[in-house]
Amino acid sequence: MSLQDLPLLELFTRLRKADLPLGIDEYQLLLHSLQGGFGISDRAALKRLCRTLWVKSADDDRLLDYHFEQVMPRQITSEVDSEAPEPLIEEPETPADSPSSLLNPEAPPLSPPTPSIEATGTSEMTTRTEDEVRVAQTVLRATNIDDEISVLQYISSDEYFPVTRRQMKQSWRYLRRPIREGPPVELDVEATVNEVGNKGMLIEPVLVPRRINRAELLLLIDQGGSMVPFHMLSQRLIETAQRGGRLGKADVYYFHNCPTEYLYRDPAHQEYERIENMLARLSQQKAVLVFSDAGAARGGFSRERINLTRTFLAQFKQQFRYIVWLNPMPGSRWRGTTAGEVMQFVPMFDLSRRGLDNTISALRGHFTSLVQFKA
Amino acid sequence: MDEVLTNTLFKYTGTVQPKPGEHDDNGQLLYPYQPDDALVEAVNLSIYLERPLLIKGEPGCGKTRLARAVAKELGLPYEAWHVKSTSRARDGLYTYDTVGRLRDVQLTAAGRLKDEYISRIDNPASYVQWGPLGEAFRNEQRTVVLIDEIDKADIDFPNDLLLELDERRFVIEEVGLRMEIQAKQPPIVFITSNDEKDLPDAFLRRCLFHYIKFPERERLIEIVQLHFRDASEALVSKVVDRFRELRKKMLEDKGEAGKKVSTSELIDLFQILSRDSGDEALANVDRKLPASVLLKSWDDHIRYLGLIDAKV
Repeated sequence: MSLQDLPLLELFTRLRKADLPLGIDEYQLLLHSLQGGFGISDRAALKRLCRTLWVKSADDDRLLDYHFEQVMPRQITSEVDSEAPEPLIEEPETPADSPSSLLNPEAPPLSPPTPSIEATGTSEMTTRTEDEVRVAQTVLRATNIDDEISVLQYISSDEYFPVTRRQMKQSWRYLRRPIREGPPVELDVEATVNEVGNKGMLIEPVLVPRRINRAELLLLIDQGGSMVPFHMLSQRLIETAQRGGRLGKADVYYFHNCPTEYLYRDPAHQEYERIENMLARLSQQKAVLVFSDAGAARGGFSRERINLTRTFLAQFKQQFRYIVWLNPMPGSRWRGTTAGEVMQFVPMFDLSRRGLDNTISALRGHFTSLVQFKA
Repeated sequence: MDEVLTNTLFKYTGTVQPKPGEHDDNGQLLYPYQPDDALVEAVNLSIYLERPLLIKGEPGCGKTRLARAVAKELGLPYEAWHVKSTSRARDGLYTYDTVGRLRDVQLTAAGRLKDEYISRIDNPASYVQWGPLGEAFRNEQRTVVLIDEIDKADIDFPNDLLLELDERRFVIEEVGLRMEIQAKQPPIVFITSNDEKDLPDAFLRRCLFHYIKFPERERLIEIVQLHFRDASEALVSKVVDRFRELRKKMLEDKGEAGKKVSTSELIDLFQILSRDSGDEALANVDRKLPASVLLKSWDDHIRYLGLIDAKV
């Protein structure tokens, strides 16, 4: 297959569908590079080119790998060496992401296989066994590829939650409390002009510290039991809050069902800390976000759990002004469960884009309606 | 036509190395640099497409050194911008010495400024100090610009650079001055990141990306030999093997995320070992390796001290 009719557009469309941040510009970039003589020497080179141009993270890399293998024909001959004979049987290929093929662009994975048949002899017997081996190899490879598909399809639909990583990060960014702190580096023009006016002469400019985000977040995550299906989701919440946002600090504590006397520092509930001690240590500026289904996942109604939750919330409210409850279950499932009662004490939102945005504005102290679903 | 000419002119090969002890214009010692082929290709692609190349990789794998090596081989001017946590995007373009100007005006009013300085006040442009990217834009030659550790800055920092990197122009808007700077030649931009913060998608979209992998054994040996040309082959391969052993163990324990010994530490290690000559150095490799070069946290100290101790 020559360069002109490579399924590049197909690859591009597939990657776009898999949520890689690609635009028409990126496609043109590829064409432009190909015209410039990049990535045309062989299949591995083309893949390297696509990787450099389109891939921005390890996850993207895996997606590219998968779709490239799916879409690109095994044999690519560029116009440069179009006289190379079309190999009849595929050579058992080295995995494309092996370091050796990356390091060595001249590695010819597309060269025709050595004609071992002639070399080993011409007897019919040998040829037949050779053929059988080939068939077995092909079957083996085909089934291997199938395995890979099932795994990779799972990976490619990584963002199946109601809120994607990117949206979470965007939401977290709104949680901010800018405070001037740190070394004085910014010129306070107004104050400097005032100084000059007072003294009739500029002696020293007035500097102030730069504004930084001091919004601190305390995440309380319900772990285990009915929350097991949401562990991935809670991990993602933590990850985006700590890495993607511009939060001053995000502390994470875990509990099971309802925090009573202790909170745990790790998801496995190994390291514990008394709530009183924790409260004594933390600053009052923190916004508190509780991530729990509050019994809505199993639909139970427990008077005891309601009372425990109320006690815990009352204890926290003495110290923190903003406490918000984020529920992974949709709002329509809260009524008649413990969650329906808990939402009387604390603003509760479900984990949708809108719910998360509401959560953030509630954490910033903005007014939000407590009623989430129609009565 | 011009563009085509400049594009074809610059092709990085990664094979031209500085002579031992050679210094650059600022008196900085130049080091040899041994990129792998995929990296060379990515560099050439970035030169050709005039897009910034974002480089990631574990600490000590040579992200920062690349830009200088490219500048050296292509014989182009080099500008480095080491980003700090307080850096603003504008600092890389220019800073305006407002306070200096105010001071000059004050001194003139007080009659204490010489005439040649007074003419300076009339020209607002004389208070502009160019940043690395600003210098590169003004240079008649294509300039290699390094934006080092971009993830250290504020999260908005990369986004503030979008227009400058995209259209290669910026505007100076200060008192009585509106100056537009358009790049004379597209700079060759390298950006390094230690992955401490995620970069915004809009910024990523405009960059080419390359991850520097940890070198294989043969390449490690090549790298050491490039740095220490008169080292014996036996010594080099012995040190590299012990080093790889330690790294392998660290990789097993810590996985991909933890701090592991890297290329730069290998070079430090070799420097120490090669103080002794010949057989003595060779014997030293079997004895205790210098822990202070290899183990950089107390945890590492406890766990791996046995591994670098004398082999019995």
